[in-house]
Amino acid sequence: MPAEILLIVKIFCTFLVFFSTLPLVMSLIQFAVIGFHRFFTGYERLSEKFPRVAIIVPAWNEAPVLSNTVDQLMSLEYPRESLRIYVVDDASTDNTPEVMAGKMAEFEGNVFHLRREKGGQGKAHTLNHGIGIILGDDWCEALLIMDADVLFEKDSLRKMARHLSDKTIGAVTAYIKEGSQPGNYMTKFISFEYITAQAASRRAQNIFGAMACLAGGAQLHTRENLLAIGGAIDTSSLAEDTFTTFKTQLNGRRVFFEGNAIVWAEEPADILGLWKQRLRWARGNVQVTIQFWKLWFNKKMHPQMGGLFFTLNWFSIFLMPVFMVSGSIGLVTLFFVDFPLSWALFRLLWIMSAIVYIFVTFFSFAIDIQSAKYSWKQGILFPGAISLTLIIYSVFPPLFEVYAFKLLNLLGITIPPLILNGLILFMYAWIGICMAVAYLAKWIEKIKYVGLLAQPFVYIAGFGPLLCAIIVASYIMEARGAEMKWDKTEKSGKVGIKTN
Amino acid sequence: MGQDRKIRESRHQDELNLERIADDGRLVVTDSPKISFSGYDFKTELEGDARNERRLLWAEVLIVGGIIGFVLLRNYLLSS
Repeated sequence: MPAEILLIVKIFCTFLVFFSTLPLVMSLIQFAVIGFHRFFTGYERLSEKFPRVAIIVPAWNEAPVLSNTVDQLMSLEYPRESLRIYVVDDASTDNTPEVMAGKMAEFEGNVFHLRREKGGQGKAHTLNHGIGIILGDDWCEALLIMDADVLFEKDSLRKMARHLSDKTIGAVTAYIKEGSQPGNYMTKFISFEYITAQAASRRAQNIFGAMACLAGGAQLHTRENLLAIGGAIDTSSLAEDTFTTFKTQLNGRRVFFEGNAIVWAEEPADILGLWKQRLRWARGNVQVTIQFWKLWFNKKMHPQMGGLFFTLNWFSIFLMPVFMVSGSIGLVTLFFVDFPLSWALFRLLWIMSAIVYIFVTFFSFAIDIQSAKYSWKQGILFPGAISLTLIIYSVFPPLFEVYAFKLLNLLGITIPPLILNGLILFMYAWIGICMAVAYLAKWIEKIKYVGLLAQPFVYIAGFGPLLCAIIVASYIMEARGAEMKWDKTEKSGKVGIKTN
Repeated sequence: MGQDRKIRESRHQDELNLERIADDGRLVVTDSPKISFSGYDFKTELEGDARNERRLLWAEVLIVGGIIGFVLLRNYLLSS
């Protein structure tokens, strides 16, 4: 190969490896600023405020949980005369009407049942049916959009509502925590993920002045904000929450995350459930990325949303699989072209990963100690056992390079160069192929007996790579123009407020 | 002591009644909501949440300190 081409290949591959570190850099930046969130809460400007809140609960065949949901909402520590609950029944075929008739009689004047005779169009359409009726009445000053199966802690609504005394704020969201009782390995992974993706990341977004997404299960809007964004939720995509969030901010109002307002939700307990839920979210994000393409790196459209941090942060998640694969391609190519360079870059990449991993994991534990107690093992194994081994290797190379080899020698085992090179290539490629292993876990989950291996596969490949595999699936489905189906996440009603 | 009115808060039997003194000095009870739950005080709750946010900075300082200490210890162990 001519020297010039070789040089170009080396430069390009080095670029690919550095390019792949963007998600790490963005994570580091986000977590580094969280400590300063205390200066961005706006608490000093707040005053006591109890706006008249209409709570809208979209429901389709939720009869088993509705009674509990309504009771729980009526027990919120919020003035009763400022609270109305509207259950929008999306043509349920169970006994939702009977359950609601009972609740309306029990809480006369506070609980209302709005029924759609023809349903099945998805959550956004259901919400819009209710929003249209609620906004048609002057009573409502603020509207809380939630899911039928989430549980609000008693003080959560008032902690959200107090921010509405700040006229610059259009919507407030809460910290959704995983509350399955009993949980399993999957719900524990999600519990840890929510510390990083909500409690941490959304605090950072408060600081940088632009929010990516209001949690679908807990978003409190002012009446003015809802009217300003058209008095309805977007129905053109699978990410109506993100659309609403973007539109709110592009209309000049702020969106705030109140991390001290806690809401509990039941999350998927297996890979297929997670896959269904996250595929919808990921496809929604693809649609948002395309529909708001003029916003990216465009500060004229919105100073913060079009700014460097928000755009890079958005794309570091949206293109996460691309970053991972590019790192692998760069390293594997350099292995054949310039091994010393590839080794140096590999070490650099994993030392960076180690620093970010240690910082993010331990800080996440500190941010939400309660969830950490519940999911610390999954937090530690979040990147997967193999990646964790590579992290340990990058921090303590002699552990493997000296002691492991000594041990093998003692056992009379010598590793042939071919195997050694294969092992190195595997380590280089792992950042990319871990997604395939995670996909394999999804694929085998429902196969009799073999499905038992699904859980170990997730622990080996990592929960993060599993989410990345879902993002890849979303690209493919969107490129194929697959039908936009509102696949409702199946819930068992086993959600509870954890007190310790 | 605002231009038009001032707000005075008083609490009776765990109920918060907001009363304001109008321009002409009359006491006017507002239609502000009554709070029927006990143990709540706006400022105390806000201070508690602010304390939780302040805790994060200390946690971050401790973790960063721990990482720096860990790196120094690691380098010392590997060099010795």
